[in-house]
Amino acid sequence: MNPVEHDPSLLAAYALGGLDPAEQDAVQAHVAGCPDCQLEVREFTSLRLALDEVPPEAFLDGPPAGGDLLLQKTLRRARAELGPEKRSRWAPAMITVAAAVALAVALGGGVYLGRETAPEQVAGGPTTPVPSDAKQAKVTDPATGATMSVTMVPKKGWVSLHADVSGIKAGLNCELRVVPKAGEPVLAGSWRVSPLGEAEGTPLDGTALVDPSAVKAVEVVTTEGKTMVTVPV
Amino acid sequence: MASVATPSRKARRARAQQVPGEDLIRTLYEEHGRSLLAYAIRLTNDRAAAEDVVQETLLRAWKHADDLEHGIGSVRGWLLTVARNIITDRARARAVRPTEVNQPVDIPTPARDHADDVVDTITVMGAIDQLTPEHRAVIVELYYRGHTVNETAAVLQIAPGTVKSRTYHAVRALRTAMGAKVKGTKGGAR
Repeated sequence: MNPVEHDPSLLAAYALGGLDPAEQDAVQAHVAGCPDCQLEVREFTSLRLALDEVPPEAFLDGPPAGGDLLLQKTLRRARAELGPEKRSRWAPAMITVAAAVALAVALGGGVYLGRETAPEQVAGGPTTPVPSDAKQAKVTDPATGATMSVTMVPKKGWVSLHADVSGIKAGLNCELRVVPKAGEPVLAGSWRVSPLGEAEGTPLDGTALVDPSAVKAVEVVTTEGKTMVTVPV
Repeated sequence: MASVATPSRKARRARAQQVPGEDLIRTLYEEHGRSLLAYAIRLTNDRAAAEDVVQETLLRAWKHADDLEHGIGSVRGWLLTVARNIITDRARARAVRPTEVNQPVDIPTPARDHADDVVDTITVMGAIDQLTPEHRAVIVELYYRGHTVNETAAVLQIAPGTVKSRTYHAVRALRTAMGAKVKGTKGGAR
């Protein structure tokens, strides 16, 4: 055994595979004939196995690169998952919500008054007879494959819509918008396409404060800004 | 009446959007998001799937905040373990095993013949977190980032001899920190 080569401080780096190949070979040659070093290497090697329980990515810090979209998605799921079964866990917060509900019930007259006067605002659903002054149109966008069949009922200074939208992938967040001849599109409703909606279409009711004579088209765009289908009316 | 009801409905909606524990999700994301996502991407080889795993992991942390706060070991170890379990469960459901990539190290390794010798990610992360910053740095660079002694010396701006001796002392400190657990803990994360 060459005493120069007997250097226990090398053994950890050796066991972790950090030495240069030449040095690694030299230490290996020494360890082969040194029971003391063999013992220590064996211990370090079993420790290396323990280190393997931790992936290298464990030593990256901070948020993912590229903004907090993933965080926002996670928070949305958290909100969606806060169902009734979580109430006991989050009791204090739920009591606050319950108090707000109670307040709303106390003011219920107003809430119901609002609802009672609302029905004329509800657009003609599938069972409602279509008024004679309604406009109907249907378009399939050849690029996206999305189809919208829309019925627009003119009101005094605004429009009421019933739309059936199909051919859009489940999970996409969409907006139904009324496009005026001049100015920005006006939001008439928004939704997330369900698997059923993808397969069979999504029925939608909406309203928009656009004068019936000023309406150019009705469109569906994703929240990311992609136009899925535009129906001129 | 209606004008009174409208603000109360608005207030109710605003309050319903404030999720209890939301700050926990934000904090975990800010501190561990990069680590979790990179790990999930490597195991799934699929960015969209990996993002979903990260979401699921953070949601589980949010639901089990007590375990996270009162558990022994590191939070990151806990999160990485949960992420791996989610991926393993999903892969098992598809009857496909994920590939765990270990760094190739050309030295003989003893067979893992005793379950008692196996420790879990959370324990090891906890032990690494107990190291001094100098010791932790050499372990991370030399082992986890796969650098040689000379490369580690360059990264940390210390002499190669210092890297070797720090590695030696770091490994001994780890052995002490994990000592009892190496013998006594069965790998719950597996």
